[in-house]
Amino acid sequence: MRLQRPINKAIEHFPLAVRIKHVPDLPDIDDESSSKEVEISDGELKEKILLAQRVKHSLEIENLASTLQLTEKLYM
Amino acid sequence: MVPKVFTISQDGVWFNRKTAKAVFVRKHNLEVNLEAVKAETEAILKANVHNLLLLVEGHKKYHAVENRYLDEYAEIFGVKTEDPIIAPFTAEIADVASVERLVAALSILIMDYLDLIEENGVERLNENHIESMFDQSLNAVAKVFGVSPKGLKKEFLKLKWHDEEALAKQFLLLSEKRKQLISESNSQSRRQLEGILNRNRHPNLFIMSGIEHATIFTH
Repeated sequence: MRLQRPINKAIEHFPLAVRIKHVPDLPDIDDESSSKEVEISDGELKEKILLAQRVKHSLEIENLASTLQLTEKLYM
Repeated sequence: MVPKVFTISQDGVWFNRKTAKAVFVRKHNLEVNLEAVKAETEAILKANVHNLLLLVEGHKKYHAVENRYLDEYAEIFGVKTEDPIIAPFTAEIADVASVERLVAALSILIMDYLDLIEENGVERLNENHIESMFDQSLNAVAKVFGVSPKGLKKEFLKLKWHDEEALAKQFLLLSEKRKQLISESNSQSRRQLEGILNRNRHPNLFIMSGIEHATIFTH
């Protein structure tokens, strides 16, 4: 009976430990089974693509990727 | 975007190789790559080098101008060709590198695919065209990482588009995730390269790959 108390204490603190481990800057992973449609309004996509490029340039993240294995069928 | 041309030193995995010339492209499918590859292979022809092995990223897989040239070169001159590079942007690599597949897919969509759409002239394209290119990109990335396109689109929209500073932080994190994929791919490619070099004792080598894989040949 005396050993039971520390174990209960650990369980009590577990949800807090999980909250501390959460990294807020990365997007949360959604439940992919959701059937809700994902809509992008007119003009929104172009705006986001241009903004993304501007942000990347300001960060000087250079794209040196080797993406051709993914894209050759799309744009070539 | 000019490619880097290296002569590899004769030690490490390259021990006992007479010539190891490498062209590392900064981005595939550019005319400048073709010019560099042509110049280097013509020099090999002039020097009448025999017993040559080509190590080409994306051999018979990518259809970039420099790849098409080297594939043809290998066929005309009967040169043996191997591909030592394990593609970095796949579900298998994401799993081994412990990068959540959806985060990996998002990082490649943001860091690479948006560039392709932008390079196709996003300013003058109409909305339907942009949307169709975006959907094709989304589906292609989702497929290679084995995630749902709808889930990936949701993650894309959930980025902090209304706060440029916060968005920049997210991009930096995604860029780090992308680096993890390349690092895992390079470590697997290094092992593949050693296997290829043990099986093929050709004294002369010509290498062409993306510059992000250069470390497997030069370190």
